[in-house]
Amino acid sequence: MSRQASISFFSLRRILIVAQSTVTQLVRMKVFYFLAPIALLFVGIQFLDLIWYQGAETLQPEQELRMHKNICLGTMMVFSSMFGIVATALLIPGDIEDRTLYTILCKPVPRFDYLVGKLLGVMAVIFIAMVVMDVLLVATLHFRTEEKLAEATQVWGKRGLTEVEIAAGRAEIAAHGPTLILQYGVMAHFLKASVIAAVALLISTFSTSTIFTIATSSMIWIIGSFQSVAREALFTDPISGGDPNMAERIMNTFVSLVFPDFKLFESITDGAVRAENVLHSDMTQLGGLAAIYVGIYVVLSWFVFSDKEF
Amino acid sequence: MRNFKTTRNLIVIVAVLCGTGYFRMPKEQKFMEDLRERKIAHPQIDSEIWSKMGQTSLAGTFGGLRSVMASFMSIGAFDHFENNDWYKLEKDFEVITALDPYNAYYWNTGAWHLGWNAASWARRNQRSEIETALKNGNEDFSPTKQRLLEMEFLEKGDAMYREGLKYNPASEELWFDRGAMWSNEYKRPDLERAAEAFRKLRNSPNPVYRRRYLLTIARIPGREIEAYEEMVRLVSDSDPRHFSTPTFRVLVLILGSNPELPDGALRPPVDVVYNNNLEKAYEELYNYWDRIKNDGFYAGNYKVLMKQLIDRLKVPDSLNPFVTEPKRPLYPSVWKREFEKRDRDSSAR
Amino acid sequence: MNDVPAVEVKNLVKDFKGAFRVKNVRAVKDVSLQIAPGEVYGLIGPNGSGKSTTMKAVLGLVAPTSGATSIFGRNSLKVDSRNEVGFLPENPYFYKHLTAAETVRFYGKLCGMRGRKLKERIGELLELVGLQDARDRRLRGFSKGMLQRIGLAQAMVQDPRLLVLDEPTAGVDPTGSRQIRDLILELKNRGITVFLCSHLLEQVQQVCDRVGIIHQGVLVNEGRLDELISVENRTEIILENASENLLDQIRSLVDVTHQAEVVSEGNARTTLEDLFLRETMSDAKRKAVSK
Repeated sequence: MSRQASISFFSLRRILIVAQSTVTQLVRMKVFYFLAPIALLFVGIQFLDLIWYQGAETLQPEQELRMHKNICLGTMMVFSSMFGIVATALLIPGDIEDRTLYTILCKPVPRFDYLVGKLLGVMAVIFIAMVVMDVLLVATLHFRTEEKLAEATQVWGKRGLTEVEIAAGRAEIAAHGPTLILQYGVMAHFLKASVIAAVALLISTFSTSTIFTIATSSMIWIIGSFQSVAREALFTDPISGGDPNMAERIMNTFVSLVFPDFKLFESITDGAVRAENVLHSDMTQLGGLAAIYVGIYVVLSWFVFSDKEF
Repeated sequence: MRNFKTTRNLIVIVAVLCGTGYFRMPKEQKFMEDLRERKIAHPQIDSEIWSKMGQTSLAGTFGGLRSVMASFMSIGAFDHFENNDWYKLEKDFEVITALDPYNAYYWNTGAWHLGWNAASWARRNQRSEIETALKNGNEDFSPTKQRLLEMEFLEKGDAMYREGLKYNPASEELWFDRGAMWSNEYKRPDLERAAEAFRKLRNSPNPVYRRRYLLTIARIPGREIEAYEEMVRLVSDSDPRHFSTPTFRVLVLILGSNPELPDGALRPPVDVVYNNNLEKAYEELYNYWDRIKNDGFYAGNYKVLMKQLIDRLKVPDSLNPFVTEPKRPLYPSVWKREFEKRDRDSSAR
Repeated sequence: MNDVPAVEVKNLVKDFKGAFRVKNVRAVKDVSLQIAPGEVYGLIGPNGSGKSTTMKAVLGLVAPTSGATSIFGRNSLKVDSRNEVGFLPENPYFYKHLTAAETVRFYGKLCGMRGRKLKERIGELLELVGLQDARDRRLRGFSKGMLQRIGLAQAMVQDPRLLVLDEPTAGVDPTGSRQIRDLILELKNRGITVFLCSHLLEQVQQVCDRVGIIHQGVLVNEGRLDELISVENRTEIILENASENLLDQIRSLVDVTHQAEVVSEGNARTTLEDLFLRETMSDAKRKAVSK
């Protein structure tokens, strides 16, 4: 058998091996069996005319379609974020407890590859689950949109609107249906979940308990949703006549620097639901930001994990 | 050693995050500002609204579920409407619109509940209750209090429309519904405010919206010339649907009959406006008198126009409002019956 | 290459930080040892003596406070050194969702193996450890002994020159223990170095060439097994079918020399393990095991 003279610091192949093993490990976890079917079911049943589609809100087709999208995307967001935290929090402690980690690290596997592989595995499971949910979302939304288009066309026709006006009205309704912009919203949720999983990975490298990891990651998830409030307080002028509170400035600075801004991801999704003009360049920026966050957290995780003793 | 390592690790983590954050922050801020400018990102929720939020909506805000929370709160707010709990409804809609401000529907619904439903409730609230309460000396149901309450809700509704239009200036429904609220003769009409709203819809693709400005200023004394100019603009629109409405047809004649118009002003003749259907013209002019009396529409040279048609059509006395007390509205069946009677009488003579 | 020790531990010291207001614990105090290639070395000691810590330092799982450890000349803390070593931890569990074959495949892939070579190696190892019938069973359903054996299989997947075994027969029944022991001897015959920790002294005695005794973090004794346990001034002769007359003659001879004395005599003893095996295994199996 040939022996390598030295092992490279980074090997995509090794990372993918660890990732693949992580994927099979996660899909057989109880937390996945619990969360995924519920999320899928909740997205799937939006096909039916449930109670929230029978209120006054749904007199306007655009409003009904918005509600449909909001509920489905909200479900996907909750699933992806929760799973990202819980699954990642369970991985490394589980490997340590079972001593599986010892056997892996005693193979020629750099700790960096192990960490990245684990994270990639989590992201892959989230991605696959979200793809399935997205297919359900598109299918159910498509049916609802077609239904609304048919109803509206009939009503407008009876009201004597011209063909041009009917076409314009149809276009407005169709814009709230399954479009590429909606996919940007789904992608934004996935990117956010990836960042949250990377946060959980970092915390799990130095945390001594899974509960602590889950609790801290959840707290960071929440703080990240209003990090932009703290940041904007630094960038906007103080209210005239009021002195800036030093303690608040320090707190705002700390929160802005240390915590991720999840509002950016949520804003893209909100905009996508409202069929606003979310651009490809917005997604590129968001993807770049997510990559930076994940990169920083992975490097920090490796820094902590590299000399961790077992 | 372990504690030293933990401390060292935490220091390094915080230092790296702070360092990278220092470069990251301005870019994030710029990105967010750009998204806000393009109305993709929601504006910040102000502190007053934070304090009004319940735990659930607060949790939704932090979790990135603002729009979902708004949807469900909106469904829940309907209960306040059914229970006539207007202040709770107002509070809920303040939160709902703060959660999803770029959804014109919520502003419209909130304003509708306050400016239409709550105001109506205040105005006609249970006559028997009012009478009983007044008999018992309960001043809360006095007409003055009722009127003040009605005005309060109208103003709240108007405020919600205006606030909603700041975030959704392109929403025609908001402009229209605000104008409709202030031009509704069964409420407390304020035609100036209504005109201000309808003015924004002068170039709407919807002909109904386009006409409303004209229909409003034609009711405001002193704006007849402006109404005439608006009429001319709509006529030159060449949209045949304008001429499909009786009020517009009549206004073309009435506004064109204004003696204060400058020389050479366009005064469309009745034959052209009504396509030589003078009976139709007479019928609609006959009925227009109610609109002058009840809705404050401009009268113009109404009498002259009517008399001209009476002469041309040889209108029977039974249908001549200057001879017989008019019974309005004049229906085509009545017209037909009276004209047939006139024809029979004249043949008999 | 042959001059390079398989394992070298030089003045290893390892401290563990105590909890608040508790003193630091020095788990390993200036331990030095060397294991030559092809040797079977046993590190024995009571619980908490520093055996596992020393082993983990050799594997790079803990960093020495001072001193150094290396595997075939490579610093243990470097990932390079792991090419040459396979490790079986104490009471391992592995990934329960994988089958036996998948487990070995996973570790093989981590070592850079692939394709037909890996496939053949999996078959070979499962046969070696006696798990070929359970290759498609998930580890969740494995007994302790089976887990130990799959652990051995994954440790050997990349055909390492050094095997590190932490309590390899802990919790395993005598049959399984014997199989593991025989496997270790076979590996030794193949020239593979084995470094094992155990406090089952009987078994250490059966397989090890050299033994180190560690107590309270200090290597108190070390050397070749037969040298360590032989009582120099005593000789053991075992006779079969000796008559009483012959025994009397031997006793008389000893009395005549006045230099030696008979310390004890009696029937030679077998081991409890042999007795167990004799009673519990079939003839065919016993023959296979005894080979």
